[in-house]
Amino acid sequence: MAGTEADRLLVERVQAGERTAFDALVLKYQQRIFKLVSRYVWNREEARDVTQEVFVRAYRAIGSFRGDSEFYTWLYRIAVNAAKNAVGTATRNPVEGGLDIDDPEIGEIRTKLTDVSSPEHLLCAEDLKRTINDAIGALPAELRRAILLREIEGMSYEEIANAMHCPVGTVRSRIFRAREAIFIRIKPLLE
Amino acid sequence: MLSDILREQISAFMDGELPQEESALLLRRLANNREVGRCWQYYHLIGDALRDELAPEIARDMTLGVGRALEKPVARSRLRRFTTLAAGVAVIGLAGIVGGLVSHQIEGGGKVFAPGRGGSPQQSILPRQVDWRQTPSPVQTELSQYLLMHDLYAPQLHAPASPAGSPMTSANPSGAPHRQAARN
Repeated sequence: MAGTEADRLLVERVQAGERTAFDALVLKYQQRIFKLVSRYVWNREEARDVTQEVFVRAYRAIGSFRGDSEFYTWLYRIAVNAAKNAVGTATRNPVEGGLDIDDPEIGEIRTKLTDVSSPEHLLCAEDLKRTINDAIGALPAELRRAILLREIEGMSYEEIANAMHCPVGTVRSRIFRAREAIFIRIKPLLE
Repeated sequence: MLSDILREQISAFMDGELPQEESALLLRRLANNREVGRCWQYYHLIGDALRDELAPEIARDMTLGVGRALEKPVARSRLRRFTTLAAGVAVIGLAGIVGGLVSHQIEGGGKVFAPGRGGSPQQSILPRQVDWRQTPSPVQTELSQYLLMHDLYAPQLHAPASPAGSPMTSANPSGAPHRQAARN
């Protein structure tokens, strides 16, 4: 699975008292956790606060993380609990009455409804996706294939090397070059 | 500006494909170099977007907010600890004052706080205490009555016999004291 070894190394560092290593975990997972929390928490600002709270809770509890499961699985559980608590304590929107917040489909609908209420935010994410898709389309075929096998299929470098009939070092280089090409395209949007 | 070698290392590390010795060095840089952190963040953002794992709004760098939040509770817990300690001291102090007042009242016979007795102009805010030593017990009352009756009616040693027969002496026609008679 993607970056599990990197997570393990980072967690070990955090457990050894290096807080900056936790920042790397925050930067890595903030989008996924934010999306997950947004499925439960209606308000964007509140979703951001809850996401932040998820990481605060994770940091405080990281001493008890034994690595029996993947770090993201552990973080996911914290996020779901925090989001449910936030929904439970917040004033419920009458529109939500009777909806099952555990139902992912309902969560998706809520997210879309929220998107409508904040078009500038929707535009921001959609812009980014479009730019990335454009960048992917503009990549040489071998770079595109390498990055998609890695990011979408979750294949290891060795598996990609076998699939593409090339050395592992070449795969590493192709994936890096693909990321760089995309990074250059999205940088103006993010800074 | 980061070198291509370093950026490629970041790319490989996030995929878990960087050799261990290189990882240790990169981790140190990741912790201390903001540029490395930003590269790490954006590479992950690309992956999240490709997997459709982005929320409608892109979350900006949350590390600062998380860091601030981690600082806050420490200050709050310190304040809570201080408040608890202060409250504890206050309770103990109050208990000491109340205990002192009660003890003083008991030992002082309530005179200090009893209104209308003169002495201290202060009045106790506590309910008026009963001075148990000034209130005769039923046993004491009985004893007092006995002694009073004894003084009134008992024949006195070396005292002249009562001219009029009393209930206690009427059984002694000679008029001699009982004890004297007993000795004889």
